[in-house]
Amino acid sequence: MFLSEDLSLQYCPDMTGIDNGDMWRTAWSRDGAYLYAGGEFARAGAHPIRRWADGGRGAALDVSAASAKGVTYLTPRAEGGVYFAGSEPALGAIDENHGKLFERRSHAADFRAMGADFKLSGDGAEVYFSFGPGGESKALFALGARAFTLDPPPAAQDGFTATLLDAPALTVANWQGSYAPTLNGESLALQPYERTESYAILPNRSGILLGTRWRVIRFGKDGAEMWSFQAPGETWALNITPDSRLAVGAFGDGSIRWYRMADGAELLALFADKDGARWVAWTPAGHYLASPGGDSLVGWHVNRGAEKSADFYSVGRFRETYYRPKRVSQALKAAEPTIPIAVDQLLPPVVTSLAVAGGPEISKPRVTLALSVRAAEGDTLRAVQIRADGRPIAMLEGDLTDLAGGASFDLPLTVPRHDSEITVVAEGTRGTVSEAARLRLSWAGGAKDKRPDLYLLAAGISRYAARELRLNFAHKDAGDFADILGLQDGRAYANVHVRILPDAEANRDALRDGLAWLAREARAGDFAALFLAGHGVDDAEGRYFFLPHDGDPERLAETALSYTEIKQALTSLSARSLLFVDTCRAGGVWGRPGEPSTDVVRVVNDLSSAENGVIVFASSTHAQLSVENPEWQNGAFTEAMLEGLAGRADLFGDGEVTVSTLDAYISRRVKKLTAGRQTPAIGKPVEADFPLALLRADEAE
Amino acid sequence: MRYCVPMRPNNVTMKRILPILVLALLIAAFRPATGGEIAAIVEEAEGNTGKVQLFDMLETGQVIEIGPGGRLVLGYLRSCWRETIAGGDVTIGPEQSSVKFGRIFRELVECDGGSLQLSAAVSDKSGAMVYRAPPGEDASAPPQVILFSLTPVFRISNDAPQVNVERLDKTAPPLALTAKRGAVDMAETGHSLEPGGYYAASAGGARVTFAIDALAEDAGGALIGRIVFLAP
Repeated sequence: MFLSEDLSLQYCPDMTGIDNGDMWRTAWSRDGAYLYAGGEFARAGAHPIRRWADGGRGAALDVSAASAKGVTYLTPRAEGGVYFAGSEPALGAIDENHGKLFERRSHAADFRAMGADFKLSGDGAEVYFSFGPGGESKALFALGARAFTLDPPPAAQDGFTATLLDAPALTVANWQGSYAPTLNGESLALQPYERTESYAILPNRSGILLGTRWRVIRFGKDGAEMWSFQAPGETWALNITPDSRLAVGAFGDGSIRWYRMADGAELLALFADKDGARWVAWTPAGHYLASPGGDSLVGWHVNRGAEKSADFYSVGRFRETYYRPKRVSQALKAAEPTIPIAVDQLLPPVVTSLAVAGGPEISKPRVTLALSVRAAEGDTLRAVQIRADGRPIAMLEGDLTDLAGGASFDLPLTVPRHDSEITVVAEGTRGTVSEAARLRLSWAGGAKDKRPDLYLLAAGISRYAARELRLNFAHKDAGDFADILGLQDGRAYANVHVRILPDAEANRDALRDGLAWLAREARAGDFAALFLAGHGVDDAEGRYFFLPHDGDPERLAETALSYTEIKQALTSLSARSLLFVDTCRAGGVWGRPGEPSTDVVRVVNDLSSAENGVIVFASSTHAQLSVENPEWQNGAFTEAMLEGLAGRADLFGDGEVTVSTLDAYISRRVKKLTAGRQTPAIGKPVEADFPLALLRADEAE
Repeated sequence: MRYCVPMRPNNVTMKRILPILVLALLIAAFRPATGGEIAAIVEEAEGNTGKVQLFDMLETGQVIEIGPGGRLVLGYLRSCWRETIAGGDVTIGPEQSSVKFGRIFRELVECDGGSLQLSAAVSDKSGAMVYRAPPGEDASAPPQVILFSLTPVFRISNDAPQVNVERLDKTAPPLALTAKRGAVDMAETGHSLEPGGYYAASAGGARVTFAIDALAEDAGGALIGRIVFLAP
């Protein structure tokens, strides 16, 4: 510690144990009582932040803070303690007692250890890569199949090519971490401090691509720069298709991107969450394709000027305009025309603050919610919607102009008598819907809510009126599913009410009547579930329809149950609503043979958005077909659901099968049952979990 | 588990309900104007709300014009939505209203929305309401309605002088509550009932059994969570 006046050494804080890295970033607490430091020093896989009492002279105390990479920034909190930033990147806070309050880590994959694992199919539409700090996870993304597979079988990369690093007459040297790489002994011109991280030789031997900390540069074989572009992060790996038409890079922001070799124009980008479950791919024109839940991974960051926090809108907010899976699937074949993206005309409102008077621990169901909402520039508010655990509990509608500028206002609410998650979304007048603001409430009152009733409408159609549409086990799936949930009568649910519509009974009128039955009977606090097994069909505009027994694929609007009807029924319920959908069966009478006739992921992501609140379990994703097996006498999805609800999804041994444990179980089980050909898609509008089945009657007490 | 089938004429449920039509609780006295189905009750009316006033029963399709400064609070009997409406034109729906030119705050409150049979068809399109279950003869029978407040409101005919409240699940002195303009609000009489208690209320020739929800803690609250309809 030095005196600022003359830089004379005053004292040294206790640095005992700091033996494998620096503690270069320092900060004082607001009152100067404590000194904090952090840096590259690591212990047990984390980077501690050390606090010294008495302004740095006193005892040292460490708290594990930045979990993955070093501490890069420290700044004091008004309440005591410090905020920290890590280079992963990560953000977190240490409280006044030197305990970690929270740490938000990046979802970005780490491609640093890619090595030789970055491989491309012949057309570049499939990429095999590793991610994770040590490259321990492998993944395969197939654009045409719209599939992301974690830890694919080794044969999945057969025929793929690794990066070409050696070729006669093209020798790249002194490149790794260097500021002065060479090609055939000649220096390649870089910008000051521009460090090289990767390279690839064009398979046609016409030159190389060089990846640096902030650019990708194409050099001719004579070493002349042909083009370059700003990279979205460090260029950790590069590869080029065998025909030298496309380049693919893996970058420090966790994205993989495709470029046209002729001019370096970007064609496509992929971001896969490092959890391996969610992903999103998008084009420069803004069109995107996503896994269930993947449309919240990327979005638009809109600056609002100096001294104002920026707004973030996930791409899912613009689903109606920009979710275009077919266009994205074709992105590598022909670049989309460059058109200005006009999201400024589509920006939704922002919920700027949300709190419960008296704090989030409550002991009475009547609470007062304090919130503020800001409409986008040039727009105003149409409605503010509040849900508890996904079900609607309040709505403010009408002329809300006086609230649109961000004024704070209060709303009285009746919330559940249990720990719950409140979500608030605001709607603009252009049909836009805000990101959800979320608030967790902790129930500290006495008695909890009574057990809900379950209302289940289960429709399964195997024997369609049209013989060419017939399936094998869809009707049995519906019956078996109803039976397994029927066992929960008196357990997870006070009463289970089931209406089954097998085969000919599942005509369009009966389905509509069944939806009306759900709306009429299921009350607030109950569960309303819809199970659909049979054919789903998208029309020419990509709108989903469920084909009833008497449905005609050529006359969907007149004979099928539309997604609009299903959505209206499930989202208008005051009960908590669930959809189980197994309709990606092989049709054979429309579309291409061997491909499903519907994109159920659109349904999953739309219904499970915060504003719609439906929990969705779908049998498969994107271009996958649902698998049936005579041995099970069920579809794989239903087979796994039956197993899970019967107890195998009780993953913690506490006698409960919850939404999350059933999700985890069927995700693995269906993949196993189908040898990886089918992956269920699950959409959850809230993070809060709750039981769907109890294995013992006494669990309900 | 209950396997349900699409409703058919002459089913068992209807056979059970028909005999209790004599318990139609609100017939001509609360008859709405347009011949639709009763859907909501007026909980509060302030300022210019047209002819609508406290305790009025509203039916689907009915339109109410609220003038400047007017404020209306409606409780939907089946859906348990409670609406506070400021200004505008209100159209009554089966489960909630639609409002033009005004502002509406809609909140879900605790109420026994399934207890009432709201169909107009039961009494020659008169808009009558009955409780789905008949009154029990003893404490082992289920109550006709569950209330979510310790202070119920009893809606009775205008000429009934009082409501009698008796405890059914244990011995307790009965209450005789004096009515004012066709109603008794226990929040105003100073009486309070017990959470989990099972009661019967009678006025004139009508009798309704009700229970106070075991989780009810407070007096007052939304009308639709604490009202009992008694026939004249």
